Amino acid sequence: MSADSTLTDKERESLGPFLEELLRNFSRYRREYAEFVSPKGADLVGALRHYLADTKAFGFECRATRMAGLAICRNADRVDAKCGVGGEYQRLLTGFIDTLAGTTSGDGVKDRLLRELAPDADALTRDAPPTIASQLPDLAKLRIACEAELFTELMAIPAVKEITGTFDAVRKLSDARCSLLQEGVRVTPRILPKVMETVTRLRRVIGEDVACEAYVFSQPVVNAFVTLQDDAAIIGLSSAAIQQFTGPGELEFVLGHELGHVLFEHHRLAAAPLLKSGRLTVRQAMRVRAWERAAEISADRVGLHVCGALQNAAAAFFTLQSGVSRAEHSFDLDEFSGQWDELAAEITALGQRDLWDCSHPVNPLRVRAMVMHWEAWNSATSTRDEALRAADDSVRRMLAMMDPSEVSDQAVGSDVVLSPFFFWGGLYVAAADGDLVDAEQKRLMEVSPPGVDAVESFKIASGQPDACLNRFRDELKSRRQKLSALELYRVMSGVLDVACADGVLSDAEKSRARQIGEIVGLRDMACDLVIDRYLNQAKVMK
Amino acid sequence: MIDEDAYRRLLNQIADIAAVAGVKGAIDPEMGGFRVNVGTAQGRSQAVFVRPTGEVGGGKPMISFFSVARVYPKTKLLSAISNKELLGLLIKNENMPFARYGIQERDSDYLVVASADHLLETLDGDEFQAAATFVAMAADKYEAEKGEDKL
Repeated sequence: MSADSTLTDKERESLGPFLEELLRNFSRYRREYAEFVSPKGADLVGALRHYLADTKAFGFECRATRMAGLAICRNADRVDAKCGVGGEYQRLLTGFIDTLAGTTSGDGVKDRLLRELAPDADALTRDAPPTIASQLPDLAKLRIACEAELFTELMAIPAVKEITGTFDAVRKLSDARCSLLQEGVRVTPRILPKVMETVTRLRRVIGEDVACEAYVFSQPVVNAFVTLQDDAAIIGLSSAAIQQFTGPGELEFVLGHELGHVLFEHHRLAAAPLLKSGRLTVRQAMRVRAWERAAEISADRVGLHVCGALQNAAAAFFTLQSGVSRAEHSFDLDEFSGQWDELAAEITALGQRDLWDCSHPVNPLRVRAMVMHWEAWNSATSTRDEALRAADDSVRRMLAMMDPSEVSDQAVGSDVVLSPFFFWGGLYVAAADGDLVDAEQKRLMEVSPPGVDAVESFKIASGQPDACLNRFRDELKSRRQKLSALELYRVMSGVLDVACADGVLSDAEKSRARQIGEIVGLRDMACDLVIDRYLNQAKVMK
Repeated sequence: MIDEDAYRRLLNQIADIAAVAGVKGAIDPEMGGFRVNVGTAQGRSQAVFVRPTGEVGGGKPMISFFSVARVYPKTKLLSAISNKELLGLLIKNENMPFARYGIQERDSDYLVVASADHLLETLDGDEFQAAATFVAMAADKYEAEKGEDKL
C-alpha cells in the first residue's frame, strides 16, 4: 500500500479483516475515520491514505505515537468495553508515554510527548461519544431476534391485526403534543439547551428527516416515553429523569432508548389497546407482554450504542434502580450486573410465574442483557455474528423467566425457572455412563442456569457425581414453593432429556433417573410411568 | 375461551400429571378427556374423565374430573328422575366431600355425573389421585343407589 497507493486482491484478502477491525476501533477515538467504516466493508484504501498523511494523535505522521497509537487504541477499546471511553484511554496513554520515555532519553521526551498529545487527548475525551449513525445498516443486529419472531407470531392473530389496524387510524387523532404543552415544557435551543443539544445530536439515529420534539414535565418519578404524532417523534421526559440522569452518557442512553423504539417501529404493535381489548386469550396476552419486553431490550441496545459505553448505560440503570446518583455514590458494573444471578435464583426458589404481566423486563435482567450484547458486539469481527446470536439466545432464556407462555410441552426443558433442576439432575444422570458425550454437553449448556460454569461442572460430574446430586438436593431445598405435579413432570422430563441427548437411555442412567424421582418424591410406579411417557413421546431407545 | 391447540396442550399436561400421580390412563378422543379407570367397591370400576374446562383469574387453566353415573335419553329424564330425587341430589351435594352431582347435556341425552374442579398448575399427584377416587366413588354410589331405588 505504501509503495503503490493501492491494494491488490491478495493484500486485501490477507489484511482486510484485520484492518477493518482496527479501523472500527480507531474510528471510536478519531471520528474522521468513521466515514471510512461501513458495515458492507470499510474503504481501506481511503482510510489508509488518510492515516498515512495523518499528523494528529495516532496518525502515521504523528511523531509521538506512530504505529504504537494503533495498539493503544485496540487495548483501550477492549478495556473501554467495560469502563467507558475516556478514563482508560488516558491511563493507557500515560502508561505508553511513561514506557516510551523510560526507553529513550528520560523526562525531556516525556514532557514533549505530553505536550504534543495532551491537547489532542483532551479533545478526544471531550469529543461527543461515538454514535451509531455511521452504522445504521447494522441496526438489524441490535434488534433481539425473538422480538421480530414474536411480532410475526402476533400479527398472524386476526384480532391483533384488526385492533392494530384500528389503532393506527386512532393514532392520527393523537393529542400527545397538546397534552405535553399543557402539562410540560417543550425543549428548545433556549429552553433546557443541554437537553436540546443532546436530542439534536441523537436525532441522527432515527434519520434527520424525522422530526423530533422533546418535552419535560414535572413528575417526581423517573419516566421517559416516546410517541408519534404527525410522523414526528415526541419524547416525554419527567423532571426526575432530567435531575437524576446527570452522569456522563446517562441522558444519551435514555434518549437513545426512546429513539430506538421509533427506529424499530415498535408503534406498529399497539400493545396497550390490544391488552385492553378483551379479545385476546390469556396466552395471547402473555405473548404481547413478552414482545413488549423484547422490544425494550432492542431499544436498550440502541441506547447503549448511542451513549457509547456500557458503564454509562449501566449507570443509568443504577440511578433508575437505586434512586441515587452516580455523582455521589459509586457502583461496580460487574457486581451490579451479577445481581441478575441473585434475582434469578430467587425467582427459581419462589417458583415465581406472575411476572408475565410486566411491560418491561426487570432492571437487573436489562443490565445483564446489555453486558452480554456489548461483549458480543466487541468481539473479533470474524466471530461477532456468532457471538451476537449466542448473546441473543442467552437473553431470550433470561426473558423466558418472566414468560410462562414460553414453557412448551413440545420443547422439553423450556421452563427456565426449573433450569437448575434440569442441569444438576441431568448432569448426574447423564454422567452415569462415564464421560459426557458431545450431545449431552450441548444440551446441558442449553439448560445451564445463570451463574453456573457448565464446563467446570462437567469435570466435577465425572469425578464426583454425588456433588451434582447434592446440588440438585440443594436446589430442591432452596425452593420455597412446593413443586406442582406439572413441574415435577417437567423436572423429570428435563433431566431425561439431557440423559437422552445421545439418543439412548442406558440402564445406569435409568437407575439414576429413578434416584432423582425418589428425591423429588415420586413413587416407584409414578417414576416408571413418567420415564415411559417421556420415552414414548421422545421416541428414545430404551 | 380455549382454542383447539390449547385444549390439546392442556390435555397432554393432564396426562403428565397423571403419570406423576402414578395413575395409568389414556386420552379418550370420543369423550375429549384423559380417561382413568378407578377401582371402587366390590370389584367394580368406574371410568373417570379429566378434561380442561376453562380459565380462572390470571389465565390459570381449570380442569374437571367427572364420571358418568347414569345416561338418560333426553325425552326420558324427567320421567326417570322425580323432582324429589333431584332435590335429593342437591342435598347430597351439600354433604359430599370433594365431588358434586350434576347433569351434562349432550345432543341426544343427559348424563348424570359426579364431578370436581381443580386448578391444573397447582395440582399435585396426591390431589389428582384423590380427585379421581372421590368422583368415581360418588358416581358409583349413585349407580348403586339408583339400582336399588334408594335415591
